[in-house]
Amino acid sequence: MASNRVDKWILLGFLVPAFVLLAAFYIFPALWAIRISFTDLALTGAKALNYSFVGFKEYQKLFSSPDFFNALGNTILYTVGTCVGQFTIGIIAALLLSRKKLWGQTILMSAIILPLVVPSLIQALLWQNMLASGDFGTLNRMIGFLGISPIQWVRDYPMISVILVNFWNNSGFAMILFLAGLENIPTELLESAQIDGANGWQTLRYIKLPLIRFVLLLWLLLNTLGCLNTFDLVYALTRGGPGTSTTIMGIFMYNEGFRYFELGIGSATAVVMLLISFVIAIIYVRLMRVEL
Amino acid sequence: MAVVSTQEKPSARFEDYLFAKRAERVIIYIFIIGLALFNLVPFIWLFVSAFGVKPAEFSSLYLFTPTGLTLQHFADAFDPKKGNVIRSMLNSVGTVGGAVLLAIVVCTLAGYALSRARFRGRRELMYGILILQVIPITATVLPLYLVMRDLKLLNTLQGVSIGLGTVQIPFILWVLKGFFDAVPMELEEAAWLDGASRLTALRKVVLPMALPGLGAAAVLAFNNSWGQFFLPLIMISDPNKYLMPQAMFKAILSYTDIDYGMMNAMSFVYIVPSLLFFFFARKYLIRGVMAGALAGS
Repeated sequence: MASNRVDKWILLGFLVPAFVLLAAFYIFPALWAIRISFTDLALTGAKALNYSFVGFKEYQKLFSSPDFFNALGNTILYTVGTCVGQFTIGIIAALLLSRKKLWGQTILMSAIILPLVVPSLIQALLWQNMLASGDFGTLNRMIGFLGISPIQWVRDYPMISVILVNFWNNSGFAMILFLAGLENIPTELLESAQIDGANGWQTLRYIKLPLIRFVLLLWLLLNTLGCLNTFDLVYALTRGGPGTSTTIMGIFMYNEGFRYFELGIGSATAVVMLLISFVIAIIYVRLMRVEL
Repeated sequence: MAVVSTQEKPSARFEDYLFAKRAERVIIYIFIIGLALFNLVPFIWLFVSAFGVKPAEFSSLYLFTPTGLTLQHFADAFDPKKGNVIRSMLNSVGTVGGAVLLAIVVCTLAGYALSRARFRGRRELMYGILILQVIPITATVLPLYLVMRDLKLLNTLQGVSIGLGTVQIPFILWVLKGFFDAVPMELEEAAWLDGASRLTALRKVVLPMALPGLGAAAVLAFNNSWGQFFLPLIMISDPNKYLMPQAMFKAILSYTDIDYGMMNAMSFVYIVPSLLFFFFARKYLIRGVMAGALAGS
């Protein structure tokens, strides 16, 4: 064994490859996005080589563009919709599963979390079939059993359609996270609450939810950031349409950067996304008073 | 609830109890089975459409009752002039495999170091890495494109590997550090006394013990990377280097009349590794998600 000092340097050396990669391909691009957002850099043409610093001009363009606010609004709608849906179904499923061992529990749980591993492009493909309009669309057939007439899902309810796919994909994740949290609650706590005469709702509201607040916070954080970050699924399913009704921030940025080659506006969008992400992270942590 | 009713009506107690339990049980089953079925329904079309013979009057977009079994869709998918699945699949496996390997190797070293070294600012560094995950990848993709262009990595699978692998580092690093923390120091110290260096001790003593953790981390890294579509989409323009999602996306875009039978055969090939991982490493998958999720607690 080498001397302690040498050993410490060897250990620190182990850190180098990971941090070089992170710096070059993760942190640097994020910082560079900030720099580019103050230039009129374009992907092609004269502005690709001869760009100049234009101050907040790209931000002015961005904030005076109705398309940007449309994308922002769509992202908020998408985020809130998926969070509410996933939370409701996820917490109900977790509460039910945490109470009893059901027959076939492993198989049922596997079926619920299976969509988690489906690549987003296949999700989009499968849901083209599910959401297909007309009498033969699979979802339309399913609601047909309930006596509801066929719906033109993607045309008439584009945002609901996208949220539904996200819900299908991620509700299992919410469920296993909540379930893990609930199973960590000591049974004595629940029993003493029962003895004190707390009903089911009170136990949930005052004991279970507060005790799993770290898990809830974590899920909310991951989910919100995931929604803000979404590109794959929505792009493959609707490409932001019909019109711009499902153009969320990721798609807006892609269009500006890679279809209209406006890297300045694209990067300004990226910076706004970065800021929103950090603010959300801080708010959540404060809100839940979780020590990090 | 049951306690209250016993005090009021002792005679009815047992039946009440049984009925309440049974009704409750039925509702639980209906809800959970309903959710499970809803989550499985979309897969029916994948299988029926990939393996089934479609009745002529039906559009391939819809779920149909197959009139027989066929492998024609797979023949189309594997046909280099149509689906060209082998090419894209090899690209995908190589690229994602490379990304996983890269992430695991650098995170093993770094995770071990963070688990064993005591230096000022170590905690802050760990939280810094955790916070990195807040950066939306979508937001860094534009400059990342420029970085890749300047490093001449654009339109190369190595470039995509590095990009995908790097994104996994913060999460995998946390997961692996947790696993290394669980390996007792004494074993290593014994190895040092025998003259082993840090790296040898890591390789011969610590790694074998942290192997389940490495497996979990690899499964997670694979699962997170396998579906990635944005980075390959912007980096790769040569059809010979398309990854699976890109090949499928281009197929959706370029045909006016999409052959969903072939598309689903491609999907089937593309989803097989995911399903294998799901069925054989589900425990790792869940445990890894938990480990990462509870890393900050």
